[in-house]
Amino acid sequence: MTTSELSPELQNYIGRVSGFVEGPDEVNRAMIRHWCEMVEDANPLYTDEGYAAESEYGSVISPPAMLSTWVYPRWWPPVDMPADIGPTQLDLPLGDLPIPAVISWTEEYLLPVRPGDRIHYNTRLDSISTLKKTRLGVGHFITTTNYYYNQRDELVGTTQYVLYRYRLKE
Amino acid sequence: MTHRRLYWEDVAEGEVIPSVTLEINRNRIVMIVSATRDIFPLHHDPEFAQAAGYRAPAVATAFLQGLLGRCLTDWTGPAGKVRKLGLRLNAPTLAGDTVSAGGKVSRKYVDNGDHKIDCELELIKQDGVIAVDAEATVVVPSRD
Repeated sequence: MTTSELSPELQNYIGRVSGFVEGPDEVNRAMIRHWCEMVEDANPLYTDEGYAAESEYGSVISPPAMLSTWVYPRWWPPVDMPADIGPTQLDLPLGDLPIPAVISWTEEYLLPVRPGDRIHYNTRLDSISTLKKTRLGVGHFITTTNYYYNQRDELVGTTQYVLYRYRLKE
Repeated sequence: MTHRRLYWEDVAEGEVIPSVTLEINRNRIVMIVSATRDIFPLHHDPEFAQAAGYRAPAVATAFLQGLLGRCLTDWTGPAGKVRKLGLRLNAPTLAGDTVSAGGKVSRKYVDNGDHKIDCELELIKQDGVIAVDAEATVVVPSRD
């Protein structure tokens, strides 16, 4: 249900791209192994050096689904970054819509990511809905895409998020 | 050790992708926070989670994509490449739940020389609630 037109100010943000954010660590075997422990993933490309050396990649690789983890902000020392990556990087003038809810997201994995790689990303605002009422409250549906690059500025993957930023109904 | 190697020719549309199941016990909650780096209190703090309306801490979304990724390459073997993974959240996955990731093949086709398989996946909880609907595209080797 549409409750208003999109303000010209918000309309202006569509297509805007954030600055780049660099991941705190280079891609590394220890964090890859922790990820594999988390989901009990025995894929030898991730943790078996001998197998991976004989593979088409020539070394272990990062699990594709781990991509966004490489740019997750460090916890200490504190950094002036939002707690979640992506949509909030754009600093949209949304007013009093404090609650973010991820509705859906789609990841595409384009190139392998290896230990030693450095990943950085930026975020583009693809679209923003008018204010809509749902069973959760009142807010905007916001679609953004993260573009992840390696140290050679090759695009290694993307994530498109659909987020609902809302306030509870009064 | 030999690894499974799924060939495109051996896949049938409608074929079942076997489920993988994990229990979200306290150790797993700790591992998820540690491995995803997502320390937001909803993911580990029972009081915070309850104040936010959840029975127990809810896992980070990165865990869900990791489990689905594992489900796919457990099935294809390491030669399978996940190219695309789309997820829709229906219900939170909470501490104390047991979740199973599985699905079926929806389509197989050749695209630009790549032998592709589209999959429909679900993450189902112990009570039958579908926590996540997902779709994926994987590229697998051909016998040609």
